[in-house]
Amino acid sequence: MSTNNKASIALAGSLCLGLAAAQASAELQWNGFITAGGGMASEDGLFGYEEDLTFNNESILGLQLTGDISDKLSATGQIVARGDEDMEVDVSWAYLSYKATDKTTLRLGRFRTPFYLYSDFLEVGYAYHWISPPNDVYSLPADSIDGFDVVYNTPLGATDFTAQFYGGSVDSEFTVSGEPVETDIRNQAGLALTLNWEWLTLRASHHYAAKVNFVGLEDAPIPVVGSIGALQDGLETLTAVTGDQGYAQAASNLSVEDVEYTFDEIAIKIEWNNILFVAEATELKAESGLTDQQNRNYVSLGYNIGPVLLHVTQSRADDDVAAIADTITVLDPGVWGAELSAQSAGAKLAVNGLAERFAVVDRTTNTLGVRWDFTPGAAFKIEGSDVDYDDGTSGQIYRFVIDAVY
Amino acid sequence: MNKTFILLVLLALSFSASAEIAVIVSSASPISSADAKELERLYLGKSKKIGGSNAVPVNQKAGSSAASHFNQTVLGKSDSQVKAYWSKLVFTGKGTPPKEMPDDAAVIAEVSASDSSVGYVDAGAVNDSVKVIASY
Repeated sequence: MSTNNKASIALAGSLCLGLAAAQASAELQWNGFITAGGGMASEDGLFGYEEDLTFNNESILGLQLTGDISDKLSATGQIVARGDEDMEVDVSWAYLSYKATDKTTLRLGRFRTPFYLYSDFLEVGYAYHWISPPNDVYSLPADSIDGFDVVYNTPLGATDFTAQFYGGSVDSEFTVSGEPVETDIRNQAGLALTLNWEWLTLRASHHYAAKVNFVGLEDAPIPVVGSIGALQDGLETLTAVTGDQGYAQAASNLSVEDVEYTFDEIAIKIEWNNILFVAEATELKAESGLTDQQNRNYVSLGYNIGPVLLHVTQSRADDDVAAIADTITVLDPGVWGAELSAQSAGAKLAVNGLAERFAVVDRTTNTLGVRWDFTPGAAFKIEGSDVDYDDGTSGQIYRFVIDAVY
Repeated sequence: MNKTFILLVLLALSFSASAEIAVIVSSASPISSADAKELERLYLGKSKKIGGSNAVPVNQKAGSSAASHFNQTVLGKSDSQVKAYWSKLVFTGKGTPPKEMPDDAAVIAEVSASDSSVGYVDAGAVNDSVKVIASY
């Protein structure tokens, strides 16, 4: 999640230059957003909450600075500090924007990857009804990209049509058992199409990443298995002893190098009189590696009564386990002996366990919430969520925030 | 005394809420009228024109009775909804809300000085330097 620091500094530096140039010629525009709140869960560790009320998970402070360098060229920077990352400051956006025509804008720099309906203002809680969009769906970790995009916007009769095409690369980091794993995404591109007509918004997007490398994941310690690398070595040893029994294929299926991903999304939003309806569905697919297919969706319904919005949301994660263990034959003990047979059965279990552990979530989350706009520019929100895992376990989360923009 | 005060406040509120709003342009502007749809698109940043002529919207101060009345009757949104609408565009670099003016006099000064400016004021504040293109 936290982006590469060197890149951040370089971007911040170039942005400062751009903004300095902007300051020389025109006025700068400041905008900010803040979220402060807290929450608790029925058990420690659920979505990062504890049994006791904690206040740092939800806190976000963002500052955005925009300066016009000329009529057509502007510089925008957004720095964000998040409570769940110890308020470490992150440059989430830094781009130069060039308005080529009335309908076409080109951007270069770092911006939010347009994966989802709410991607553009993911952290500006004031802009939507939840405390945060359903995290079953809004789950991709690398949500900003360094690159370019072209945004084309035109009215079609009474409908507004927007197309956004982008390309770029991402360097981000996450941890497995406390060990840092770097995610390097190369050759990523995508297209997002949005139609907006009065009370109706429709959106569809498609994204492709040719090469995703998880640097360090092979060596990250994993309980029982040891590590992915150790498991691959074991499979190769088995191959050397028994000849090809599908182990070599399984070892290469475990590879965390150059994985190819596609991501698709569709969404509908209706804001009609006092009624709000939003639904979104996503599908993440890998051509190889530990992930097979992640299927996620949510439906949310809200009703406005004056300054108060009552809403209910159901989200669902329904992932498929990668069938990478299928190529492994459990050896016949009568032919190969009990020891080799047990080893092959163990390898099959371990490979399947890894696939399940790494990329698969199967659960339903029901959320009931209230948003109260107690003064223009600020909203108080409170939500309760019930998370039911397909294995029969469940948990509850209660949280509240105040979201403001200024 | 408290009761009198509350009564006065209520009277003032009901007076300002019922006051009519005049949408104005410079008396030299080529724009002669505007319908609610055109004004809505202009003030939500979806269009930069009224009847084929360039138009630049000017707002009253957020939270003022004129702005609330305009938001409700022309845009069909509460002050909070307008604020949320713009926060989506502002934080994506896709648009900036119309410039805010402190009062009627400032709006009239701004609008009368530019052929493309569009503003709205209390109907009673309108003078010769501007012309009314719609009333709400």
